[in-house]
Amino acid sequence: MSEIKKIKNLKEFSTSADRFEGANLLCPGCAHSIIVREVLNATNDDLILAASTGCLEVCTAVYPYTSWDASWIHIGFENGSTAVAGAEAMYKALKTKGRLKQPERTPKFVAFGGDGASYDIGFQWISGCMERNHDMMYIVLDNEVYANTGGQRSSSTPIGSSATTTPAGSISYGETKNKKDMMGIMAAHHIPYAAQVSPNKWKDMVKKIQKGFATEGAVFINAVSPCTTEWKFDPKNTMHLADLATDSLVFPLYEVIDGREYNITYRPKNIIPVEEYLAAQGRFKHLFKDEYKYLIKEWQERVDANWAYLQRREEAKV
Amino acid sequence: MATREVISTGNELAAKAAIDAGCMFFGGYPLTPSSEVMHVISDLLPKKGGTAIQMEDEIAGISAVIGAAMVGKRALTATSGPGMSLKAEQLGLAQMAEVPLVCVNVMRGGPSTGLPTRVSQGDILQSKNPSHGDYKSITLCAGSLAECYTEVVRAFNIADRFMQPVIVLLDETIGHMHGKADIPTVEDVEAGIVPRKRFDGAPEDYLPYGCEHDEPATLNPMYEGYRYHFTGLHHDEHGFPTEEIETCRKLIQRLEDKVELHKDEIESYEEFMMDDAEVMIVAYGSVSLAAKEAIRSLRAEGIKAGLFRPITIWPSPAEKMKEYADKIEKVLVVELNIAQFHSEVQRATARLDIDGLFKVNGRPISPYEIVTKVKEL
Repeated sequence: MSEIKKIKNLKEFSTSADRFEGANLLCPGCAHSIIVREVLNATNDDLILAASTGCLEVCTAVYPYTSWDASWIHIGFENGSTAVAGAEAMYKALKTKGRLKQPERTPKFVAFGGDGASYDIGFQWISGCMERNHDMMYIVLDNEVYANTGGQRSSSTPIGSSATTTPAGSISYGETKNKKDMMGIMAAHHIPYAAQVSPNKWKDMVKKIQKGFATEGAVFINAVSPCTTEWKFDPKNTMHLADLATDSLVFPLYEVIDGREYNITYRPKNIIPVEEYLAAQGRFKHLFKDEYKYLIKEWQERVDANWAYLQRREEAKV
Repeated sequence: MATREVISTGNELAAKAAIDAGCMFFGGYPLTPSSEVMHVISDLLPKKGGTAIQMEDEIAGISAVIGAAMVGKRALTATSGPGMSLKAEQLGLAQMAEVPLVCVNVMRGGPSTGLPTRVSQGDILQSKNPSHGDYKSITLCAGSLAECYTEVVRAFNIADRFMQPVIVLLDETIGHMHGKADIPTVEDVEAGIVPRKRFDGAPEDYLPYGCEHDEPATLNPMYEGYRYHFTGLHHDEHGFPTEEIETCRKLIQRLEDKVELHKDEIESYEEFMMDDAEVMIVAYGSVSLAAKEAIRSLRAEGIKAGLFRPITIWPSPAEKMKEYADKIEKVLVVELNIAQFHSEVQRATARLDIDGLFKVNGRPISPYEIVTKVKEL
């Protein structure tokens, strides 16, 4: 096994060997590039990467430029996970037969996908990879919307959010379904490691990514990625929004080991009301009308119930 | 026929046409450059009492549409090339089980992810045989903003008449084109709706697939007391799976004949300055707009060119093309792919000397390019 990269401080971390260049076409204030950089900078090992069709793929490799200083596969909308699984399986086969030309190198296999590619169209493919327990990491850049194709809802879009295919208006308050519990579903595959991360909790994130790389078997990471365009907030507030998501416990940071052992890795000192998180985004603007205010109350109750559930799971150790 | 003037985009008109034609269900998935169809219909359909669902993928989109259509409602899905590739299996099921539905395909560059935001007409052959097996596809192709509306309306009527999917091809240029269009009034559209055939006798006498050799199945809406079996397997007149030799042969032959022997009900084309034409340009979709412009320039220079524009692409207006090709020596097919419809013109006219002007770089063909090519002939 390769050595775990030592990271002292944020300055060193953010300026260390860059394998993902900042010059790309992502929106100003997009969290995708920050998350990707944090993942890539967490290791010195070789990387074999894939990105499903989505904002990340479209914006980071436009001829004649590329942001990636690593092997990188762009594949269909649904099968980033499977392409990496294929590469990993082949690597394993060559290794077993002793036919690797550079056996001392220990590449890591990582697939990135948006929530559309992961929660929706690529769902069964990820499930297959987790079930077969490939030695790979699947990372969802979860911005809760199809940001690349015009802001349509995905099954990650939370209730009450206005999207182009669930528009809020005279007869609807927007999305009517709850966000899919992807972490729960992935944990139910009893994979060795699953975790939720946030770009501004970088220490927590690096720890989890490194733990994931050190794990043998399938790893699932769900990263909250505030989308300035579709969540409708000022681009300078991306990190603030990421903090609001974690501090309101809308997006709690925790990990699940072997599908059973839950560890909460971040407990906000001051838990903020969900209302504050919603108020910071244009996509929830209509919820503050009198007729929809009950939805905010329901939101808070749901978040509280989920937090209580996580704590019970953590205590129970089962 | 009374018309009304609207300012709109092709995608928006396709969505509005579906609603005016009585479509009550939309199932789809975001896919550039067709997404606006879903955006518009998500907004308008609930106001009409219908349902628009964004599904988890393309396959689920068309599957939900099949379900909705089986309940007797008109149902629509919209996508682009990569989505068509995913929907292919279910299009085959809808052919086999005879489910009427409309699938709008706003073509972009392919294969694979291709050129998501650029124009192409690369799905012509795909729309002829999207799925495996033998059947006869019906594909219409809009060549103007107004036709984004009228062809979707027509597609719904044809789907219900022939009990099978109908594909409406738009291309990125037409889909995103924004301008003025004269379209029929809602009253006219509603008056033109031909309801799906249904069986009103005793439920025990009901044979959904027990029809004449050239007729479609009679599938009564679900939940109305008529039970029948629905399958993608070869089936008998009740709908039950069978491997009986003659039943299987008859079924597949009927899927072919119900369209082939009634082509005249589907065939549609436009002839533009063809009366005295000495050069025939064959073009469809957005390319036909450039072709018309080119023909006007050519005529100003004394070259008698004309346009033959198929609106129903499959089955193609083969007899008419042959009739023209028998008397016109110079025939040029202009399209945004490599010889996809060109091969059909060759087949229909039984001529191998048909010229072609093809472009596959995601950019439209300009009138100037066509003029230059015609002069070279």
